[in-house]
Parts: sequence; C-alpha cells; structure tokens
Amino acid sequence: MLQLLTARECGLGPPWFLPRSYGSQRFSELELSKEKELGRFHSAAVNSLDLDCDGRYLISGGGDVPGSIAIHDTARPAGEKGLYVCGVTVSTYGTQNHTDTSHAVSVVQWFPHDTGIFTTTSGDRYLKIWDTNDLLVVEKFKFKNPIYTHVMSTGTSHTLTAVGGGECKITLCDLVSGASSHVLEGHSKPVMALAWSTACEHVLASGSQDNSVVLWDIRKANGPLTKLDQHNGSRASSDPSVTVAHGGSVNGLCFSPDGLHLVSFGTDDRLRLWDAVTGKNTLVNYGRVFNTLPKQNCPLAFSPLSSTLHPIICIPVGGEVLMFHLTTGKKVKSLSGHFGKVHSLAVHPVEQELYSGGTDANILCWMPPPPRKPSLDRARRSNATGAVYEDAWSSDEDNDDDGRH
Amino acid sequence: MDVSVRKELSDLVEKMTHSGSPSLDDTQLKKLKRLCRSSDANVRAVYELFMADLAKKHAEVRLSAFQIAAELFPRSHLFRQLLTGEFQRVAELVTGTESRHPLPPPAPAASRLKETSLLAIRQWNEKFGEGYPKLRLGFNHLKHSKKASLWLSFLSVDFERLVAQTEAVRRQSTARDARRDALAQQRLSEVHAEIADQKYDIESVLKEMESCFDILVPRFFPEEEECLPSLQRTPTRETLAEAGSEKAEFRGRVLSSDGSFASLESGGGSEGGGEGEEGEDDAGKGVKEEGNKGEKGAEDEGEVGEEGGSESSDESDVEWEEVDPLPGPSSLKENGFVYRGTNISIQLPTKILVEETEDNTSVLTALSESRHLLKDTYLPRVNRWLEWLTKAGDEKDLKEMIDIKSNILDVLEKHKKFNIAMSKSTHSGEAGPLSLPLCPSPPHSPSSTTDSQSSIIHRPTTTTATTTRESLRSRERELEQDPTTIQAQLGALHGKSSDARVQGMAEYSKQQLTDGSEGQTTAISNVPVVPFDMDLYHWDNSEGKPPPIKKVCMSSVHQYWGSERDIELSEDEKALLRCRTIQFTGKFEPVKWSCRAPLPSGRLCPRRDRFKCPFHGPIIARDDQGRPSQTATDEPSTSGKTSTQPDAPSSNISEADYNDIEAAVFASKGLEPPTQQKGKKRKGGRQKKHPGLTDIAAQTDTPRNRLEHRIFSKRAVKRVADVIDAANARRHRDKFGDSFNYALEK
Repeated sequence: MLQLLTARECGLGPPWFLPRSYGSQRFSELELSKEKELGRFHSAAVNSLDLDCDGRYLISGGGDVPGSIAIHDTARPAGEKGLYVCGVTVSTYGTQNHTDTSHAVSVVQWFPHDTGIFTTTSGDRYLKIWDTNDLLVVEKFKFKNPIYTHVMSTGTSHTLTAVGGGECKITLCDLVSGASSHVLEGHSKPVMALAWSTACEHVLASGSQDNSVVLWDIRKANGPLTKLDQHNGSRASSDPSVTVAHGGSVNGLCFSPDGLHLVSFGTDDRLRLWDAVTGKNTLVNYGRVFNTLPKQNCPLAFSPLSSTLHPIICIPVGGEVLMFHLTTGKKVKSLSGHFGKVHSLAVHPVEQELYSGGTDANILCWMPPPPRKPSLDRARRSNATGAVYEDAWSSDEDNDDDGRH
Repeated sequence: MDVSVRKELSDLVEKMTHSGSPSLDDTQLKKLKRLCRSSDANVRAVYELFMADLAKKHAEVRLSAFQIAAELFPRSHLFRQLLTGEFQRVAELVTGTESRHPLPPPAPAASRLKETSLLAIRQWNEKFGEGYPKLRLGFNHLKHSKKASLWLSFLSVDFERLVAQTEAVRRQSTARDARRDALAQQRLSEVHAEIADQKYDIESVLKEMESCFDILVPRFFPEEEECLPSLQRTPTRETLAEAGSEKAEFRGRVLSSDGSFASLESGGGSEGGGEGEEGEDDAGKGVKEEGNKGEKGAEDEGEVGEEGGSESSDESDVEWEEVDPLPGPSSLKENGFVYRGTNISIQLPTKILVEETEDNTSVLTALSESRHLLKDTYLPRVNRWLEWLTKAGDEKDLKEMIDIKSNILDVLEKHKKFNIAMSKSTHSGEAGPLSLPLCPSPPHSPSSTTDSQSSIIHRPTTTTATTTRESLRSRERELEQDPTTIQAQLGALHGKSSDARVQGMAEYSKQQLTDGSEGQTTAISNVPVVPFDMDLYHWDNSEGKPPPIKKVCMSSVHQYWGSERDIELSEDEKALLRCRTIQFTGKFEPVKWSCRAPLPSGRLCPRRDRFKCPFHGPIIARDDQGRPSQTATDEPSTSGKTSTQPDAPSSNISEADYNDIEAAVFASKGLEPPTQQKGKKRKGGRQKKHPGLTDIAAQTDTPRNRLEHRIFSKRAVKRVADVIDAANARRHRDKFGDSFNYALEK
C-alpha cells in the first residue's frame, strides 16, 4: 500500500493504478456485511436484483406467488440500534398490475441511466415497463413463449430492450415506440442469456440452449456478427453452423465493465472467457463450476470498474457466490451466507459492494471488512460490540488448571 | 502444532462424542477446555474434529459433538467465527430442518439434538447475534422456515407467537364462558317455567298424601307430635278420664309409634273392659293402643278411629270370651272377682301397621299412587331443579326448592313408617303379626278399675324398657310358652296335628330306610351290573340245550330234503354258551409329567409324553434347570428311565459344570482357559468399536422384516414359482393337449 502511494507520488505509474489496485484488493475481501442488512421483504425466493446507476436503490423481484417487487434504499438506514437495516422504500405487488397474478417475477431491471423506469418480466409472458414514481405499468409487450431474460441497452443512442425466451429468437423492443423494432434470428433453441456490450452499444451477445454464443450487431439484421467457438476453430469444422461455445446450454453471459471480455457460463459446468473484440476463447481455466441453475438465466457479476486491476467475476453456485480472478481463473473466495440457492446478484457500480438474493428470501449485502481503525476508535467500538468478540474462558478452567498443576 | 497434542485432542473428542451418553463427561470436558484455551490452533483442531463428528450419520454422535460446540461457543471467539462461518451446514446437520437432510437415527437422540440445538442457537443469537451476522441470519432463517419455526414455537422461543396464541386461547375461553353462561341462563329460565308449572302439582300431591295420612291416622293435636320422642306415658285414669276415648286412642297410637311398651297390670275386671279389648284390637291392627279401661263410647271410637274399630271390638269381645284358656280366672270373672294374678304386657311396635280393609282401600291406593308419583317423578325432577338452581345460584328459588324437597322426603319417610299390610283385609286382631295375646283380664267393675289403675301407676319400670321387633318376637315366643295365653292354646291346637303328621312321615321314612339289614344294602350297592346278553339267556340252561337255531345239514345239497338232526353240543360249546367275553382295556390315566428338557429358548420342553419325548428321548427326572438329576423324586420313574439312570452320572455333569470346573482349574493354575479365550476373542472381533452408541446398523426386528424374510426367501419364491408354473402347464395342456397341432410341439 505504501509502495503504491510512493509510486503514485513519484508518478511512476498511471494515476488509476492505485485506486484500482486498492479497489481490487477490497473487492477480493468481500464478506457478509456487519453494518448493512436488508430487511426481509419477500416471502419466497429473490429472483432478481438490480442496483440503479447511482448504486443507491436496489430493486428486487420476488418469487412470491403474486409476484412482488421491492425497491430498497441502501443508503438510508431503517433498522434499529445501529444496525443498518435497509428499509423497503417502495413495494408493489403483482396483484395490482399484473394481469396474471399467479406468476413470479423473473427479472427486474432499472433503466440504465435513471430510476424513473424499470422493466420486469415474469411468468405471465409479459415484458412490462413501469413508471417508478407512479408504480404503474406504462407499457406491456406480450410474448407467446416464456421469457428467460431481458436486457436494456446501456447505450444512449437507442433504448432497445433485448428479450430472450422460448421463441429461438431475440426480440428487440423499443421503449420509445412501444413496439418491437426487429428480431434477431439465428439460434435454433430458446435464448437463455443476453448481454449488451459495455464498449459498443450496438453489440449484443446471446447464449442459447443450442450451446452457442452469438455476437450480434443490431444494425446488421441479416445475420450474426460471429458465433463463438470454444475450440477457436482448431478442432471442429469451419462450418459456423456447428461451432458451439459450450458443451451444454448457455445460461450466463456478461461483458466485463471495460467491454474487452465476455464471460459465458454453461450447463457443461464451464466458465469461459472470450475476447469480446476478436471472439476468441482465451482458454482460461476456471475449473469446474457447477451450474446449479440450469433451467434459468444465471446472473453473473463483474467487479466494478473501480476495481478492475484484477477483475473478478462472481457466479452463484448453489448457496454460495464464487469469485474468480478473471484473467488467471483462480478462485478468490466463496461467499456463503444463504440458506438456499442464490438466484440473483447485483454489484454496486462504484463501491465494492455485492448484493445477493436467494431462495431463502434473504438479500445479503457483502462488503469488505471495515478498515482497521486507530486505537481510539477501536476502544469506542469495543465498548459497543467488542464484548461479543472477546473470548470468555470461565474461571473454572483456571481453577482446574491450578488444581492439576 | 504438536502431533501429540493433536492426537490427544482427537482421542478426547472421539471419546466424548462416541460415548453415547446424553450428557458430556465433566472431567473430559474440562480437559478439552483447558487444551482449547491454551492455543487457537487447538480450537481450530477441535472445530475440525467437531465438524467431522457432526457429519457422522449417528444422532448420538452429533448430539455429543454439538454439546461440545455449545460448551466452546460462548468461550472462544475463534470457535464462534469458525462455526458461524459454516453456519448453514452446522444448522442443517444439527436441526434437521432441511427436508433433504433429515437427522439420522436413533430417533430419540435426534429429537433431543434438535431441541438442544434450537435452544442453543436461540441463546447464541441473543448473546452474540449482534457481532456475528451469519448467526443472526441463520436464526432468522430458522425462525422463518416452517419446520424449524414449529419447533421454535414449541420451545417457546417465538414469544410473539406464543403471546398471540395465549391471546387466542384467552379469547376462545371467554367466548366459551359466555356461551356457557347463556346456556345456563336459558336453562334457568326453563327450570323456572317448569317449577312454576309443577310446583302446585307437587304441593297438591303432598297435601293429598298428608290428608291420606290424616285419614289413616287422624291427628287431633298436632302439638303432641312434637313431644313424640319424650312421650312415655302410661295413661292414667285421670288423663283418660279427661280426654275422650278418641284421645286416649290417639295416645295409644302415639305411644306405639314411639316404640315404648307399657305393661300394665290389669287389676280388676269390669263390664267396660270392652273398650280395653277394643284398644287391644287396635294394637292388633298396627295402631297399638293401651287398654283404655273404664272408657265409654266404644262406638264413637269405631266411627272416628281405626277402620273397623267398632266391629273388631265386638269381635274381640267374643274372642276374649272364647279363647280364655284358664277357667279359673274366667270363673272368677264370671263370679265378679277381680283376677289379679295376671300381667298384661303390651308391646308397642316400632312401625305403624295399617291394615288394608275395604274401607280404606281407596285411601291406600291413592296414597301409594301419590307416593309413586312423588318418588319416581317429582323427587328426581326436584333434584334436577336443585342442581340447576345451585349452578345458577338462584337463592330464593333454591330455598323454596329445598323446602319442597324436604317436604317430599318427610312425606316419603312417613309413608315408610306406615307399614301397610296389603291383602290382609278383614282379618281380625289375633291374625295380625302383632296380635296381642288376649289375657284374661276379667271384666272389671267401675269400682275396681280405680284399683287396677293405681296398680298400673306403681309399676313404671317395665314401661321404660324399649322394645325392638326382635324383643317383641321373643316376647311372643314366651307367650306361646305360657299356657295361659291364647297363642299357646292355638299353637297347641295347630302344633299337635302338624307335629303328628311330621312325626308319622319321619317314622315311615325311617322304616323304609331300615327295612333291610345294613350289610345287605351295601352288598346290593356293590353288585356289578352287566347288560343283558346271550350268556344270561342261557344262564339257567344247565343241561346245555342247544340254541333254537336251525342247523342246515351241509351233507345234503337240497335245502328241504335234507335230514334234520339234533344238534349235539360239546362240553366246551356248552360252556361257551354261558360265558361272556369282556374286553379289558384298562383305565386311562392322564400323564402327570412333562419332558422338561431345556430348550434353546431357555424354557423347558412342555411335551407330555408317557415314556418318551420324540425330541428329547426317554422321560427322565430333571431338576429346575431341566438338567437330568437323580434326586428329583417327583418326576415319574418309568422302567426305561430307571434303566437309564445307572449311567446318568456321566451325563449329569452338564456342559456348564464342565466349564465351571475347567475355569476353576485354569484359574488355580493362573492360566486362561483356552476355549473360553477363543470364544472371547471371536466375540471381541465382532464387538463394536464404540459400545456406548446405539447400533443403528442393526436390522430392526420388525414384523415386516420377519415376513419379508419368510416370504421372499429363495426357497419360498422357488416353490411358489414352481406351483404357478405347474398350474400354467396343466391349464395349457388341458386346453390344447388334444390339438395335434400343439401336441406336435411337445
């Protein structure tokens, strides 16, 4: 740390080096937050989580039978006695607006630039656009088949939402016009994962049950940009129709914050890192990562841009969240705290904070441990909660010792 | 970390967790705590061992392991960190709330583990939840998970729920109370209505009964009833003179009901004795009256007083004249002398006996009817009302009801005192159960009555004696003995004839019995009786005449032409004619002994064979353990057994005895008996590693298992399959055997 500071003072390295390395280090130290806790709102699995662009409002979609959506304010404590329990700011139930109330919310997503709009999809095969202030559905898109995932474009030039479902094609819904602008066809099986490129706003990656990951340019409607090949063309035939990215259906896709890499996760229990520019498999070995959500979209989360000196990818595996070094494939840590499968992840865009929701209806906040404070502060702390952390060997062991020695 | 310490720790933990006891050993625990305290590495090691034991599929091991953890958790921060770090797993292994991972057997330990763990987690959460978010999370999760929350509420952890439950229970109970009150109120109003309806009925019935009593036993001076118990008066001349004859009669009744008896000496006879006799008549009817001597107006009495009083008085008059057994006094009386030698004892019965006559029949019927009504209908009803009124706490009505009930009971009691002699109507005084012996009280003149009265007064001691019915009876008997009494006379008359008859009967039977001599009767009884048969038919046929059968001569073939010759019987044949063959089979004697050979089940063979048990050979004497013994004499000794007994000593020393001897010999030589050691070794090989633990691998001996073992054994299955195959083959053959097409196939 001191070395880094000196280096920065001396101008030996780039200015972003210090914060990024520190951020990376902090991100790799994530643990269950002792200060922040989110109130329990959902009564069933938390299927989807998303933080807004400022990282303050966390929206969660629950698997309760009338699907429920809650918006948590992570910056305002609502808890008791110093514990930072984030209260539910707004909540809405599916009973109000969903036509078919017997379906759980599968995906919720903020509008990438604002908290005025959020979109949801649920088992009722609707993509719904909500006005956050009125908490009303302003637009609905009906689909014939179940929707696995939808992603709103982060770009500024268009407001397209890509929807992948059981229809073997990607529908692009335009929020401005309220209609589907066009359709990307190329998969032979339902599309389970979608990701907009963070570098180029027209590039969309899609993963499907036909084991393929395809990169699209939405301006080029007649075909995909490229189909990712797990063997980089070395083993399989050059026919693009048979090149596959995974040995199983692809249900997780995520671009790195800098847009240089794409990570895909398949039911073959493999995690693959692709070069987003060339579309080549970088052949980083993450080992076997069990895919515990084979029938749904598996959320992947990258460490924020502020800590991308050593980018870290987070994957929910069972009741844990596994963290891998993106470039080396080493497992950094596993975050365990859920009492059920982890279904959703959300990363703070700036801070080193991770939120995870699981089937135990808990939303957990993972934060790096608080920095070691000077002794004065520590004394204060020990008065408050330090007693909890102290050893309490009773005197009978002492007596016993004395008696024996 | 030192290997030896690690070894020690693992040994210690294993010993503690595999003890199988529900609680930890104190000294071991202290040792463990001391080791853990000495270094964090030890805590880590213990945690690892703890997790390893917790994962074992044995609830007792898990329980002990968790108890160790519960000891260390409040003491060591490191241990808390480690445990909460893996809290999901620990909770899953310890509470069994995950349906996919239920707690392992045995069940009692599992439920205990569940209970302890949930309680401990709750305590941990209260104490350390602030600093360990995972612990807090875990507790919340347990609280929210259905299975665990049930348990938590069961363990009164979920206080809110408990409070809500108690609130609900309270509300329920108040609702129930209100409902019950409403019901009681409704019932009360019903009871009130019923009472209003039937009160007058009851009262009228009571009144009716009272009036019936009054008719039967008139009451003139109600105030005298109050002094009933103390009333022991011999009516003096004066009082009697004062009071009318009716009053005197009443007093007599009163006295009788009191149970005292007065004896009076009848001093003089007068013509007015008729009244006295009348009084005795009354006594005979149950209302006993002292002799009211010197009273007039007998006809008045007859009218007002008891039923048929006047006529009975006449009757008794006559009787008195007739049955007077002693001529002396009567002649004296006739001659106008006062006979002073006789005491008249009047016994007063305890109960009032009312005799049914045609005059009072209707009254008695009405009385019994109303009594039935009271006893069977109104009394239970009043009781029920009382019950309800007591429940409702209605004071006024309750008092009223109690009064009515006591009235009813009084009346019934009174009725009980009236001993109504049914269907003995028109019987005069002496036939009654307490008919007074008419003593020769000579008709006394008015002048002499004063004397006799005075003599009565001078004998108060006899009047004070209380009588019971028994004493009355005995008195009667005495009277019978006394030849002066009518009882004795009547008894003599009746008794003579009946006695004579009985005597005659007895003599006759005696004659019958002693007809023959004693020896003969016994001989007759001992004679064997055989059914009639051919030997008896030929019994007097001493010449040996042949039986009248036609003997066909076989020399001539022709049936009719053959010569008929006399049949000559030989001596043997003659003897045979008069002889009878009786098959002697002997008498069956049940077997009184059983085999009693020791069975593998530990019991003795219960077979009861006469000579030889099919399983254990000849029956021989055996002791309590079933070992053959010579000393047991109660066992049957058959010839076969006695023959085997000479070589019994060798077999008598059983295996166990040999073993004992062997052991003793080897012990004396300081050696281990080789055979036993071998057995032990074999046993030791099979012995479990941790004897304290319940063996969960042992197959449970359930009926299902036993049946499965039987039914699905290879032999049984094969047998059944064979039978089914054979049946199929037969059916096939029956169906298609005639078809040449199929026959060719064979």
